Amino acid sequence: MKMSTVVRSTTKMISPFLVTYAAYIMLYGHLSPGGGFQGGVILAVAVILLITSHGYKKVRKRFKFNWASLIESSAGAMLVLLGIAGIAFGAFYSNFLPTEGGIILPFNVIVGLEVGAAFTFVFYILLRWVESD
Amino acid sequence: MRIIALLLTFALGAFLLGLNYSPSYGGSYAYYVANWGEIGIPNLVSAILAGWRAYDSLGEASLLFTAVIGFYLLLGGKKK
Repeated sequence: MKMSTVVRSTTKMISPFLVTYAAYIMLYGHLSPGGGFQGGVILAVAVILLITSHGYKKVRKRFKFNWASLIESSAGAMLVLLGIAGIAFGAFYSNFLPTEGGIILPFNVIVGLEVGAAFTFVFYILLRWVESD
Repeated sequence: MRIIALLLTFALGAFLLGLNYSPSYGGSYAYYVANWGEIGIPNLVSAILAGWRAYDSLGEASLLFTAVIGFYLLLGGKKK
């Protein structure tokens, strides 16, 4: 499952910029339009573009299936731990950091990692299911 | 069969059109706009989603997590 040379080189050039854009949207989500969910979806699209143009078998060597699973589950656990850490300062998800916005920046980044890894994981599973028979 | 589906679609459309879409006064909207400075960031959407309603966002993330677990249990069993 491999597309033409034009599509392959274009996606190779575009997907690093997509990752940078996703990082920008996640890190500046509290100052400008954006946020965790949107950044995570763009992060997943960067991998999905590579999969659709290069084929699952080639992308699987670099972006491992187990990494997506590990990032997804550890980001979910960190999200709960961030809320539990707020209990020490008064309440669940209490805003304890003194910076601008407090815990909103790490919250956005963790949600973005979780969403991006989840969509990539779902896409991997569906592709593996389709190509298995 | 097709007529029943058509009737159901029109009934749903009529139901949705008949709902009351005028904005409610008071409520949480006025509170969010009035106490914007409490969170201290210029983006109101992020202030609501990750500040006041972080617990809702946690539920959203756990919903996605549950969906991924369902996918893995149903389709990702053994590698062939």
